[in-house]
Amino acid sequence: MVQILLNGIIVGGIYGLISVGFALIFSAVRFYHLPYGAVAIFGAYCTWFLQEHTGLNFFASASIVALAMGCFGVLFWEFFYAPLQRKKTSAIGMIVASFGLLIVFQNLTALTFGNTTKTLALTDTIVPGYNFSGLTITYNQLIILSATVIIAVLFELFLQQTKWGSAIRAVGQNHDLAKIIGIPSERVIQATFFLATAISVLGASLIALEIGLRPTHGFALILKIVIASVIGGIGSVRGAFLGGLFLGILENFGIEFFGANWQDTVAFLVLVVFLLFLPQGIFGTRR
Amino acid sequence: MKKILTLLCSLVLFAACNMQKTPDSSGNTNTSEALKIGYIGPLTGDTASLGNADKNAVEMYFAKHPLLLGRPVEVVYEDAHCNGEASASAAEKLITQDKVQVIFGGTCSGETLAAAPATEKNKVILFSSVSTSPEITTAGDYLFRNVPSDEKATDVLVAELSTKYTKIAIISQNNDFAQAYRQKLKEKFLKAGGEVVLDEAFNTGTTDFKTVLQKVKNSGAETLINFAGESAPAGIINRQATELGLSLPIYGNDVMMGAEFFEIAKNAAEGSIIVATAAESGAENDPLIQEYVTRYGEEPPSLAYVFLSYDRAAIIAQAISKVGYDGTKIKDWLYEMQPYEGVAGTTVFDHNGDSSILPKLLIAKNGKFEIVK
Repeated sequence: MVQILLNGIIVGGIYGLISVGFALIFSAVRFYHLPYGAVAIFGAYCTWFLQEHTGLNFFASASIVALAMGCFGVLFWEFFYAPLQRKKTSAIGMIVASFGLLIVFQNLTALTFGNTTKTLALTDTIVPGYNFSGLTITYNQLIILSATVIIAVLFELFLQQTKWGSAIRAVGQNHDLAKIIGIPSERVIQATFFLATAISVLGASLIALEIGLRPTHGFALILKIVIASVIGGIGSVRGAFLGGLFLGILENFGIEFFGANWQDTVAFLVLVVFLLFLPQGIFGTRR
Repeated sequence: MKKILTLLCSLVLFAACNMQKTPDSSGNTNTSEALKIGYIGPLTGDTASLGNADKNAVEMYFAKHPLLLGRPVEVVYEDAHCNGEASASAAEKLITQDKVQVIFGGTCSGETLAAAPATEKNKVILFSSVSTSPEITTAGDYLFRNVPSDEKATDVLVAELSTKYTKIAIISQNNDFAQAYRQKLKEKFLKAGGEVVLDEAFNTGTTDFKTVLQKVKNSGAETLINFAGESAPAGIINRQATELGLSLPIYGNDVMMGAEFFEIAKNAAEGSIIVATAAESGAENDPLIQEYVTRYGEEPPSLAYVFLSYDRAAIIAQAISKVGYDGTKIKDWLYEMQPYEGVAGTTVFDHNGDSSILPKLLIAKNGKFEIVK
């Protein structure tokens, strides 16, 4: 049972890490940036490409790509969403446009890197994991867990302790008020897109260590992210992390008690339950 | 006036369309007109490596034998990416637009089963060299295959398993192919006195198997049956099993012959045992594979499927040259044909269109499957 909890925490941690960026973007611009998952997977493909063709190690490749993709993330805002918002596109219009972009991006990934599975690895051979008093943790899981904790702590420190962090939080809490007190909201939104995309690429590269890369993973990922953000409370950054964690744990217990083919059903059932009985999520504010 | 004009225009358009549709009613066959044969398989997507090997073998045969009945052969390739719906549409298109009498395919059993209703209705031959689902046996009169059914494969697998183990755990993918295979294996293993201590299915797209594998670990199984329906999840299961320190012997199916299995599982692939068609790589087979490598720059993911697909093209070419390009006549000829000695072995068809070729036990060694001696 503890083993299942551990598996759940590791998977959930990574869902949480990626959901944090998604929640951050939502809190700043108030719409769902659906290509987020596909962009993260595209970034992970770039990590694979860099590692494969330059000999750089995994961490260096992932960090370089995260920075580059962060800049790319800003372009989404500048050339796609900002013009749409200036045209006063409705919320449903934004969702449809965003969904369209997700499909385009997923196909672009397939076109660039092909449909076959690519594998990212830290070691050349597959090695058995470590045993601690009956609990098994694989080498990849250990790396993922450590990286998730480090990134999450750094990110929390950034949000709480730095000027930019405060500005991002302020814009997230009240966009108009932030503008009135002189926070350059446009720049803050750009920074949000940069940060969120960079984190998502790191997260997706870590996931790829476990499950390899396929263009369709982007879509699967965004579904999990949306569920995690609903559980945590839409727009709540800490909520998104905990929502991801909760989802990962629940999915793994679902597999244990109901069987592997119920994994997705459990995830969507949780979504429905939250939407019906706790629509504001665990950390969201009731509107 | 406007209405009359519109009506006239519509009539003219209708007539024009109809004229285009009418074939040359003279019945004369233009000898320079291409003889079109259809092909359905996954040319992109998860099972593309198998589909392309299957297609390449057809291509190689007709590159060597470009004429049939004095006409140049043109194979029309349709990509169904292992999807039933896409396959059914491709079959409709090949039959109605390209007017083919023979379709090679599909690769995935789901493709073959979905295309069969259209080929049956239109009396067109559907001939697969890769689909192994037992359901195909009874899916139609015009449906043939030279790859052995999973029915035969499970006989071989159960004979092996029941002599070595009493408790098995099965992990299978929720798709036509894997579920049909799993069902047969389970029935026969139970009949042979064995016990299935864990039987878990997973949905397509699942990538994290650690908790399921943990259940396998706790189940007391002596061996793990990895029945994924695609190469990639098969590879992930092997890989995560090794990572978790699960040291059970792993048995699988022919999706493990896909290149992605070895790419993902790496050293965790070693020792896996499958049941599949395999030609002993004797001298007479080597030139074909050499030719394949020169032509396509890589070794096929499975030698057997290349041999089977090549034989299929040769059998159909022989049938067409004997009885002409007509689905029903070809069907009758195939049921009655003399044993065909090809690169994959000796082929004759039974009354269900299944062939006489038998599968063998293969083991993964150094990134390849070889026959268990």
